[in-house]
Amino acid sequence: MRRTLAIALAAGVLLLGGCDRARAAGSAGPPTANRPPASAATPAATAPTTAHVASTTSRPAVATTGADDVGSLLNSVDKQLSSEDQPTQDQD
Amino acid sequence: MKHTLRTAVVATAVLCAALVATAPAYAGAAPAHAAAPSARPLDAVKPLDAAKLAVTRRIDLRLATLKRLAATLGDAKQVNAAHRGTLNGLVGDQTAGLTALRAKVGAEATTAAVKSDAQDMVDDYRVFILTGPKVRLTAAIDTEEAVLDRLHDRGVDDAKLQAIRAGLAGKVDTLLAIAPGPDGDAIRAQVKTVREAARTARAQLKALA
Repeated sequence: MRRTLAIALAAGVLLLGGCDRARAAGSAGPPTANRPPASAATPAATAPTTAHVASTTSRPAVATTGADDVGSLLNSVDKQLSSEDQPTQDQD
Repeated sequence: MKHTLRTAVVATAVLCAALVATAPAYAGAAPAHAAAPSARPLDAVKPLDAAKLAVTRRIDLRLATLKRLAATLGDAKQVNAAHRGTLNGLVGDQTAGLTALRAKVGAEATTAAVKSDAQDMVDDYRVFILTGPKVRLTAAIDTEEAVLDRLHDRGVDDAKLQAIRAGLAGKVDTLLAIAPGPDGDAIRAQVKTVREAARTARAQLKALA
């Protein structure tokens, strides 16, 4: 009887384990469905640029003409121009 | 009775083991079924289909790039309204054109037709060597113009600012007027002139800032 209970317990553990793994795999879904394509990750390098531009240009145009403003604008120019140096995905 | 119970338990255990063993196999198989047709290896399909897949992939690269360029343009707040209108029109037209070309490629019946479509994809759009620089360099030069205005407001020597402004004058219009075509080297040379003007201005502005 003890042996029977032990086997039943082991079977239960195996069953629960199998179901849990299947559920985990199902909830994760196909990897490609949740992850952005590789090409979509490329603009991450430019994201700070654009965020930076947005933050600087949301200020009043002329009233706040501080060094920070000019520096931020020049930073965004830097990033736009450095994007120009990146190799393209196709040479044409 | 005891023997029957034990047999049932063992059978259940075997069933569970089978479930555990096959669960990863199903999980691994799902992404393969979900993968886009264009992700299939080229050597597993016929020559015409392989050609279609190859061109479709290249069109998809361009469409993805155009999407990023639209986002870049949207975020570049210093781009003036006229330039923004031109660039939005360009990106929208190219997206529509390449989407239509993608469908045309899928319906082609010969590899020669697919090859011709591939040439059109390059010559009629020039997404990488022309459209991308148009967006990025316009954003850069218009931002440099904004820096010139800020420096003027800060009382920086107007003669120096005017010299920089003269170096940038008309560059965006020149850039936006470049048309795509078969001569890639000529396009690169024209874009290079504008890029160098933008770089020169950036260096000069940094010296003044």
